[in-house]
Amino acid sequence: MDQDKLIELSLQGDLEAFNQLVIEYQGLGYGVAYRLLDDPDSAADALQDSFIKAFRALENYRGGSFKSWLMRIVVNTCYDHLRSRQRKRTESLDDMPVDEEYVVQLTDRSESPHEFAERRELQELIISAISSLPEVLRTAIVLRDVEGYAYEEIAEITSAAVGTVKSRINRARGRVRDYLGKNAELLPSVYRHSLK
Amino acid sequence: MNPQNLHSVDEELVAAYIDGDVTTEERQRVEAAMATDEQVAWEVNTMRQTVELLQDLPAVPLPRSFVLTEDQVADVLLERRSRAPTPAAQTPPPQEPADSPWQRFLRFLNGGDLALRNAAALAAVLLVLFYVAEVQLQQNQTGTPDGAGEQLSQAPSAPQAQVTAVGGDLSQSDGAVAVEPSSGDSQTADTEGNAGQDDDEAEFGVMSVGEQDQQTGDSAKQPVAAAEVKPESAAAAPAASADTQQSGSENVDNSNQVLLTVFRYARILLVLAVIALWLFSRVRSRGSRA
Repeated sequence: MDQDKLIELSLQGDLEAFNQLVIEYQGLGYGVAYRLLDDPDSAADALQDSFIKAFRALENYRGGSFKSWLMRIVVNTCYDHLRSRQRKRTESLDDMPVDEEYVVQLTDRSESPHEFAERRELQELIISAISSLPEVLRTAIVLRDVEGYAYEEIAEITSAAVGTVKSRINRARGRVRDYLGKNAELLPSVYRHSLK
Repeated sequence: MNPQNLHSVDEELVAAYIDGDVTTEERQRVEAAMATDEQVAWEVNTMRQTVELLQDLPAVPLPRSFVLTEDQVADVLLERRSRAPTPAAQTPPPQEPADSPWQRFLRFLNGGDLALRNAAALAAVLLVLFYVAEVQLQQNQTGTPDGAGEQLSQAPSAPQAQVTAVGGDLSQSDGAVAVEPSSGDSQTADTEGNAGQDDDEAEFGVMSVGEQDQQTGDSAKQPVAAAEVKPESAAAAPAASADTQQSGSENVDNSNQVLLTVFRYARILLVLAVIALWLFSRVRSRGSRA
């Protein structure tokens, strides 16, 4: 069914119609929330809260990209979770819980256990680099480089100018590069020397 | 252009260049800077490698469904549903073709509570049966002339006297009734043959047994006298035989009257029952719908 029609029905109290939108966007939303919060449970909580907020605030949706409007709610809810939690990451990278399904997805039958371990360490390093960024820079780089949003969409989601978005993205990339450069021994040989 | 300058002034341009989101002129500008300045080239190349590493991160699998339940947004749902126009008002149903009067009548009949409707139908069937029985009884009691003639001509003795009486009455009134003798009346037919084919004799062709005996004795010599006697004897003989039958027919009449009365009351009761049951079925069905 047409997205506008689903929104219209949702505004009339049709929860099934809204849930069709949830099904369409829950994958994208969870990816962003997971990368911003760096914790599966917190990401799930934040995303569920986001959909509830979105349903409640549907009257405020004034057209345009529903995806951007929804992702702005997701990002802001993730910020709320980050602030209310005021958590300090005490776990080391080795202690991070690993979802079994996630591991299976990472497994490539063609690679050796050694290669798999290296790849996993690299991914954890990148995730850690992202987590080290301030919220606005983290949001910009996650949306652009991890989730593949366009500049205009990111500008809409973060309520910033496109120029500001580009600037944030460039700064975020620079910081990630520097973070990786400090742990160059974990990088693939292609990057090891160039990023140092 | 040195890297510091590129970072502080054109960092937006570097990001756009890495993402391929630049004009030809912007691209040439960045590539010229990279060609003349090693640091700028390193800056751009390491940024591109970082982007590659970030893009290689796998997609995160969805741990569960996030569809909302009614409980999670019950208050908003209630408010929106109360505000929302009714589905009927929102989209008028397609116009159905108008029913014919017969269809409307059938739908009207088929409405109502099924059990009570069936009871009403049963009462209606009983009503029809009672009516038929009552009509039959009335016909038996009053009897039509033709029907009585047929019945009596086939009956052996007692009904014969009745017919004679009827024949006598009719002959007195207009003298034009000719009733065919039954097979049991061979003696009478002989008598008539002996007496000749007189019109007057033909009028009284059917008589009681006693009368026939009397006539048989006189018929050869005094046909005219016999004819004169006939009306008197025809009137007297039925009276004699009717005495024995009168009490029986009175009893039958009385019992028929009682039956007729019973049928009549039963019919009234059944009509009332049909109406009451049918109305009650409609009321009950309307009550259950409400």
